[in-house]
Amino acid sequence: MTLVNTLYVWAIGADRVATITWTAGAVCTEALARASIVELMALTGGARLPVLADIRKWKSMTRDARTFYGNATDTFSALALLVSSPATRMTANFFIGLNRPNVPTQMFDDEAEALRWLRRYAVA
Amino acid sequence: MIRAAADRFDVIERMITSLAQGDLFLETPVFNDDPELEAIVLGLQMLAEELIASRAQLDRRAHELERSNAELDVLSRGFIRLSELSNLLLSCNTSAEAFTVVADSAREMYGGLSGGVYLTGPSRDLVDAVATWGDLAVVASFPPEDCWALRRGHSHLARPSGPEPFCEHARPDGPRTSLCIPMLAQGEAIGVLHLVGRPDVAARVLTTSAQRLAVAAAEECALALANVRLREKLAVQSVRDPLTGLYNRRFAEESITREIARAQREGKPLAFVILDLDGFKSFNDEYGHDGGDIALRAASTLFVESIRTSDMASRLGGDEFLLLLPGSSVEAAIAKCDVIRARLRLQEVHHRGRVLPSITLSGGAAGFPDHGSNAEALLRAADAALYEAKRAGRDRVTAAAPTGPPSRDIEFSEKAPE
Repeated sequence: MTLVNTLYVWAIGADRVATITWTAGAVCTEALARASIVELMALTGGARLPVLADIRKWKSMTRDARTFYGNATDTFSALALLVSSPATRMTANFFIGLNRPNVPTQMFDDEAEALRWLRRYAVA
Repeated sequence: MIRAAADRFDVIERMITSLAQGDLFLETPVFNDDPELEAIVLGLQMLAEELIASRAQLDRRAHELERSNAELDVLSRGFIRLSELSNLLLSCNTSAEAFTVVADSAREMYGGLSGGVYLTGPSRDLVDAVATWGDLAVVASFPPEDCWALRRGHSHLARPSGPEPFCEHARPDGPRTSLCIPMLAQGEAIGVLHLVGRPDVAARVLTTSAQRLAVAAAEECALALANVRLREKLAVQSVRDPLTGLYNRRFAEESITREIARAQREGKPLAFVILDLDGFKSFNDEYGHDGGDIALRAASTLFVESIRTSDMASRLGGDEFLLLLPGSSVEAAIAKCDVIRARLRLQEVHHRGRVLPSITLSGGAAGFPDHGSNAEALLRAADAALYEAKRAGRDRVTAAAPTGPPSRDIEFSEKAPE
């Protein structure tokens, strides 16, 4: 099952891991963050799935979006942030260190490794 | 190449210096060709955003703290005033004193607001203002059902633009905020504290804390007023005869000594008249005790209506009464009693659908200083005169003999011949 808008794509795999892939150059604002969570809830029917956030290509994230995601942790069971550049790594570190989400959250630069970690939190 | 790298680090250094100096709104340089520097700039930018947010939050908290401190200060002063009010109310001897204290305190505690303290009347169908203050008009009395606070048993706040309806008694003649607080004593609403003001003043004065304080003040007033009322009631009961409402014997005895001293001090005469209903025992036998009680009450009412406010009528016991008339000579006292006797003869008293026969009255009058200089001598003289009046055929008031020994030993309770 997938849901597409111009800035991100949601996909839920057979392993019950939800993946949000941000498109190249996207700036994650609070409005987009809210919309993405509403869509996740619609896709999962309210179930809390582990989420892989692929932010490798996005441009940046506003502070309000960071705050919103940090408080939206009752909508997912774990969060893996997939990074590549020093800038995305910096953003992920900031999010984990400052916003302190209260679900397991880790930064990865290897997608397969991230998925392996997330599957531990997938509901059958 | 080295120069270019040095320039870039200068830019980063300037950003960090700006942050250190508290200038959080950074200009963000772009280093598209250098991902590490770009990440550092992004990190600094995010750090600046967090610092801006933290500073704003600190400012908000400081403002809230300032407001809380101001409110605490007001509350603290309010509680001190409430404690003073409580002490003052405990010292009040009469309701009138207590009402004045409450009005003064309310004026001080809720400066700028008008209002009133209303108490439920004995019939419970009206609530009457006992103290009012402020420049806005408040009604003098209203039925309890016109007040939402009395109907619901808790505070009722109505604002011009709020959803809560105004109480009927507080219908505004302009933009107003109105707060009614029931005054509860031992679970019973004895009245209501009403505060009213122009919306801008009320918004300033009637903070949430001030409203809580007003509830505490209303409770304090209710208890104190109930206590004062109870004390007044007990005081009345301790000096009044329950059947006739006249002063009782104990109070009469205290008053005689006091009035003699006053007459002596002021050099004025003082007359005593002991009155006794003629043939009251037979009257009681024929018309029963309830008929007798009605006759006693009717005679008592007549006594009170016939004397001055400075005079005193008391029931000594049974059908025997004492009139104490400061400033009156014996002659003037007898003249007054003659009027009373005449009115008593004409008085129609109804009992169980029929008119009771008129009853006559005998009396003995004595005066200070002519017939004695102390209570015992004067009462003995008056009682001897009553005895003479009875012996001479009743329905008359006789003056005590000018001098000479008493005709018999008497006590208060001893009866003259019927």
